[in-house]
Amino acid sequence: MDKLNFSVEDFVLDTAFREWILSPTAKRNLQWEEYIVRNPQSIEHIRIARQIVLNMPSKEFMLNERQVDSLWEKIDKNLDFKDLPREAKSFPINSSATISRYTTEKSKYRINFQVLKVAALILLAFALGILYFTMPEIEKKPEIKWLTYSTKPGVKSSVTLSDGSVVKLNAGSSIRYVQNFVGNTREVFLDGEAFFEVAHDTIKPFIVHTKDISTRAMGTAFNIQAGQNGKIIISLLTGKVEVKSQQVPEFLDYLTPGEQIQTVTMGKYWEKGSFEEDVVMAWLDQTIIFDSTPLPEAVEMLENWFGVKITLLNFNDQNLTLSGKYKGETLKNILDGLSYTARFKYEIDGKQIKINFKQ
Amino acid sequence: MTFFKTYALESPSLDTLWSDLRSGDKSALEAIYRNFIQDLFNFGMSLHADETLVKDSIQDIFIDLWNYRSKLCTEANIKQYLFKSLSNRIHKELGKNARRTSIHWMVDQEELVDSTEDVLIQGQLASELSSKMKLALEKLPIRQKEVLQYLYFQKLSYEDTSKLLDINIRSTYTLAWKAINALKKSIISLSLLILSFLAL
Repeated sequence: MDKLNFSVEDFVLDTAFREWILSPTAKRNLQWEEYIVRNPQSIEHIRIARQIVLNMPSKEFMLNERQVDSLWEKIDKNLDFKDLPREAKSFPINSSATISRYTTEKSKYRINFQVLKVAALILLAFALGILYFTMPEIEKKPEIKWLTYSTKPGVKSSVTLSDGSVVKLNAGSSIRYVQNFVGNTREVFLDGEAFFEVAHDTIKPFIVHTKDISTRAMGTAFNIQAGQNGKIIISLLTGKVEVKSQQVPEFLDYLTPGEQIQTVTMGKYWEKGSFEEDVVMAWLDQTIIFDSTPLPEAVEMLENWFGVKITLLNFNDQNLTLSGKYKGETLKNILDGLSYTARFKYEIDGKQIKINFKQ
Repeated sequence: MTFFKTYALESPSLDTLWSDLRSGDKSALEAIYRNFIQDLFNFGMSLHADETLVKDSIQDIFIDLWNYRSKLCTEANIKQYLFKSLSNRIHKELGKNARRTSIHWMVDQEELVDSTEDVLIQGQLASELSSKMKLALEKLPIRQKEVLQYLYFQKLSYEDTSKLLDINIRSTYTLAWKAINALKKSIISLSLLILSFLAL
């Protein structure tokens, strides 16, 4: 490094210096340490330059998707009305451009009409040929058919999609998707909770939409829970997914196996953390887990799980939470277990259940 | 490439798009637009933070790109071409509205934090530092903002930057140096204060 007598400004403008400050590696550290040893007078400059690099405001002006689309529409509209100007102003970028421009212009005047006719015929034949061979596909295209698959409360179900991906739907959930996944992507709209085992296809990404959040995967297995309260939880088991919001442009994150994202719809807030596979995957294993679950939430889970309606009487203790793990149990057994700890009595009348908290 | 004009996410290369555009393919124009719109908007706003003006300028350069497509040269760095077009357009628009280019980059040094004695936590100083720099950056003349955008934020080489600015490499460096110098002046006293705190 021959950076003798570097000023603060010179350091800031030096790419290697910036790289060292912003992403230091062992090698870069070593190089710069050597430099400082050889040029001890530069240390003050380096300190100030470092402050500038670290605090350089990186203004991020972003357009949201809607703005991008509407600006494009404006451009598009103007394209259709304007004719191509005859004597257009040109922007030569280099000499070869200028030369090639003139050569193509010249050739314009040497059009042979006989040749043109023959060319038109050949083109026509060719176009018809292509039309013929691609016909069946063209016919198929307009038939974009949406399929909806939903489960009633109390029923869980597994669906295999046309690409081989398997979706396990929890009770009271639904998915909507285009039959045969016509188009460049495989898109699924989810309401409720489901576990996805995505068939590998690097060309057609698999995208799950839950409210404004989209989860994009190549070939992975993940669980998404989008409940009534607007909370969305995405947990990744294998592979990699990209999670982003259609509404909040800053919300873009990636998950690696074992990671989970929790977010609230339309919110700027999201949280990434780890999760316990047993807990998240319990529903697939006929297991209900309450882990300090607030009572109203637990009631909602039971209603959905068993397809029943639960009425609470004399329920006053808003802080009451439930804990417990029930694998393949009947509703009666679960309620029996809970009634001791939470101190309530219950009555089952067909699909109607009354829970009575008496002091 | 044999497949038809379906611009699947990131598949076709920019070169392909450029030549498709030249042969009059509107979807190629849209693909280029979608590829660069955020960069261009960010760049435009960094030069002159007026959303309407920047959007209008972007609209104009894409309409021009389409109208003059047959005159485009075969090989071009699309990104640099677009940046330069946008910069020209913004300069032109600003020139129209009188000479608004700022002269006030020499101002303000001190007016430091009033009573520095007691409660100066380093974190406060640091955030003070970045807000001072932000202010100073906004006050830079547009050409200096531009040179920083190319060199510093877009990480272009001095050669490319000098071409985009239409000045020689030496002048490019001087321009950038002045810009950093202005930023330095805005924070120097504060920064020394932080250093003295660190030394304690």
